Amino acid sequence: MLKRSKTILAYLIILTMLLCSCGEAYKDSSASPAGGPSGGSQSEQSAKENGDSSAKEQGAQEGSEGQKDSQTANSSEEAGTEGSIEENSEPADDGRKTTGFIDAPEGYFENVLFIGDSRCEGLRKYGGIEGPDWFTDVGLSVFNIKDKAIAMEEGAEPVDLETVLSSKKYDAVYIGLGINELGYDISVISSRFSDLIELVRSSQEDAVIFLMANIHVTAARSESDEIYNNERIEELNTAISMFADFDTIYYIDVNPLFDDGGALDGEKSFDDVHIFAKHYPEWSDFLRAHAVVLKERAQ
Amino acid sequence: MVFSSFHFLLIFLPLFLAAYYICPKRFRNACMLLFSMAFYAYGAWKTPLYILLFAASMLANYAFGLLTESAEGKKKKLFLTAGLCLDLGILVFFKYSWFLRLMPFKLVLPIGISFYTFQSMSYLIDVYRGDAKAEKDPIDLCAYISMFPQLIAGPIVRYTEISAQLKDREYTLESFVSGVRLFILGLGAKVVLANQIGGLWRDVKTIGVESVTTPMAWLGLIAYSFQLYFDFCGYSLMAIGLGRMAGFELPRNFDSPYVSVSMTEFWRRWHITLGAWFREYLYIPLGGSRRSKARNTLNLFIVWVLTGLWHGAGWNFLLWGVFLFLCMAAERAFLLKRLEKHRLAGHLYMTLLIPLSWMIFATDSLPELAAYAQRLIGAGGLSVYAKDWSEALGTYAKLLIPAAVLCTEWPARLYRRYEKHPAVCVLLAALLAASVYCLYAGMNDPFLYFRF
Repeated sequence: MLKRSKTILAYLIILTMLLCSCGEAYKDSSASPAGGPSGGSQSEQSAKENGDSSAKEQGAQEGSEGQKDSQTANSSEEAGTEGSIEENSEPADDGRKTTGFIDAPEGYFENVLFIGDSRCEGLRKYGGIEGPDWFTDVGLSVFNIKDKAIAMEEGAEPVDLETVLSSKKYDAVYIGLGINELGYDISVISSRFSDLIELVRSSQEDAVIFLMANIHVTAARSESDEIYNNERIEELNTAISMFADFDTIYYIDVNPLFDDGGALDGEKSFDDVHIFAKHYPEWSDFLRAHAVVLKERAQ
Repeated sequence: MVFSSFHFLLIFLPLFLAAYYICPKRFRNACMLLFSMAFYAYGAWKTPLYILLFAASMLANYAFGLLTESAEGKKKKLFLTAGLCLDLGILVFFKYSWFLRLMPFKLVLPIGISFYTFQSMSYLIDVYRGDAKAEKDPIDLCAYISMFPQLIAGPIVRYTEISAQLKDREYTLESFVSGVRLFILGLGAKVVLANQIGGLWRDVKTIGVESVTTPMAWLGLIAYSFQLYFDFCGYSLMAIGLGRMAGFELPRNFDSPYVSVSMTEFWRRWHITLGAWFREYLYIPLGGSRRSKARNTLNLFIVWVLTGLWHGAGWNFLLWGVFLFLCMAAERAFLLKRLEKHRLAGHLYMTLLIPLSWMIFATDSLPELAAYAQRLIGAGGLSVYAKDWSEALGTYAKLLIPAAVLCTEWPARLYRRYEKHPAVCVLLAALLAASVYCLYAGMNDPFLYFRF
C-alpha cells in the first residue's frame, strides 16, 4: 500500500512538473480576437487570401532564400528603411531632376494619385488629405491591379488604372500595396511591382513615384502567422525599396510612427493589422513633410 | 472546438453519432462522456492541466454528492459547503483572481468553467435539499456535467431535469431528425447571420470608437445587438439539436427575447437557464421578494451584479450588472405594469435599452465606454469619416433587415406550423449549404459567449 502510494505520488509530481513547464500557455496575454488580416471592411480581402493559399506555401520557401542575396547586395535598401527621412533632404544641384524631401507646397495634393489597398483606404477616409485621386480598394494587389475597376467618385462609373493614368497628368503617384500579396514568392511580387511602376511611368513621365512601405502587423499577429508576419513584410519592403532611385522614385516608410520594437504597437490597432482611424492624420502629416517636386517646378 | 467548424461538422459529429448508435444502449452514457472529454481536450490541448482540473472537479462533485446524501445534520451541511467551496473556488481562482488583484497576471480561462461549475453546484444543492438523489454511477454524473452539446455554451442543465433521461431515454427517428433540423437552423443563425453581421461591429472597433460618426455608432450597436442575438440563438438551437440527436431533451434557453416589452421579461427569454439558476439558488434563498422592501432591493442588486460578473471578469460587466439592476428595480417599482399595458411604448423602451445595455457589455474599458457614449450623442470624435455609416448600410442592410424580421416571433411560429413541409426541407438544405460556404470562405467566428 505504502509503496503504491509512493509510486503514485512520484508520478503525480513528475506530471505536475511537466505541466507546469508549459506554464506560459496558462498566461492570458491576448487582448482581443483578431481575424484573417481582416477587419470587417476586409471581408473580401480575407476571402481572396484564403482562396489564394495554394501558391503561397511553396512561394514562402523560395522567398526567404532570395532575401539573403538581396540583403548583402544592395546598400540602398538600408537607406530605404531608415534613412528615407534624413537622406537627400537638401535640394542641392546634384544632377537630379527633383528637389528631395520638402514640405508640401500649397495645392500639392490636388494633383496627386494614390494607388493602394485597405490601408490606403484608411488614409483616404481618415487621413484628412483633401484633393488627391484615390485608386484604392480593399483587396487590391499587384496581381489584380490591371484588371480592377474602381469608381473614383461616388456614383461614377468604375474605371481601370490605365484609364486613370492616361486621363490626367499627375505631379506625384503614391503606391501602397503589398499586404495582400504576402503569400506569394517575393521575387514574383517584385516583378509585378516592376510592371506596375513601368505602367505608371509610361503615362506619367514627369510624376514623382512614391513607394510606401507596408505597415507592420502587431507582434501577437506576427508570432502566430506563417504568412502575415513582420519578417515577410520587411522582406517585401526591402524588395520594394530597391526600385527607388531617390530621384524620380522614392521609398518612404511610416513604420517608425506606429511601431513598438519592430512590430505594430498593439495599442494602436484593434485587429492587429490596421491602425486606428485617429492615427491616420500622423501618416498624412508625414506625407506633407516629405513631398517631392520637380526642380523646375519648385520656386 | 466550436460547433460551427469543419472539424466538428465533418469529423467529430459523424464519428460520435456512429459510435453512439453502434454502442448498446447501456454504454451510451460512457460514449457521450468519452467524446465529450475528447471535445474538451481538443479545445484545451495547450493547457492540459485544465483537462485534469475538469475531470478532477467532476469526480470531486461525484464524491461530495454521495457524501452529502448519506450524511445527517451538521455533517450534511459541511459536505455541501465543502463541495460548493471547491466549485466556487475553482471558478473564482481561474476566472476572477486577476480582476480581484489576487494574482499578478491573468490566467487563460478554462473552457466552459462558468457552465460546468454552475451545473455542479446546482447538483450538490439539489442533492442536499433532497430534490434529487445522488448519482451512484460516476460515468452518468460525469456524462451529465461534461455533455458536449451544452458544455461550452449552455444551457445550464439542472440535474433533476436530466436524471431520468440519463437512465432511460427514447431514441426515435423523428426526434433525431427534428434535432438535425434544429441544428441546421442554429448553424445558419450563427454562421450566415451572426458571423456576417459581426463584420459591422468589428469595423467599428477597427476604426476605433472615437472615430465613428454618430449614425455609425448607433448602427454599430444595432448590428452588435443582432450579432449577439443570432450568436446565442444559434448556439442554443445547436445545443438542443445535438441533444435530441443523442436522445436527450435539453431545456430551452432562448425564446425570442427581442419581443420583450421590459427588461424583466427579457431576462426570462434570454439565457433562460442562467436566470433560473440565479433565481433558484441565490435569489430565493436570500429571501427573494418576500422580505422588506429594502432587503428585496438588496437581493435584486446582488443577483444582477453577479449575473453581470458571471459573463466576464471586468469592470464593464460589473457596470452592466448594475445597469440591469437599475432597470429591474425601476420596473418592479412602477414601470412594469405600464409597459405591459402599453406594449408599443414597451417595445420602444426596449429598442433603446437593448443596444445601450449591450454597449456596456461590449466595451472593454471604462474610457472606451465613455468615448462610445459620447459618439452616440455626437460629442467627442477624432478623425471621423462622414460617409462611414452610409457605406456600412450599403454592405450590411441586406443582412440587417432579414435579421430584424427574424427577431420577431413569426419565424418561430411559421416554422412550428410548417416544420414537416417539403419546402422547409429544401430551405434547410439550402441553409446548410450556405453555412458550409460561409465556413469555407473563412469568415471569422467570434462566439461572444465563448469566454465564459
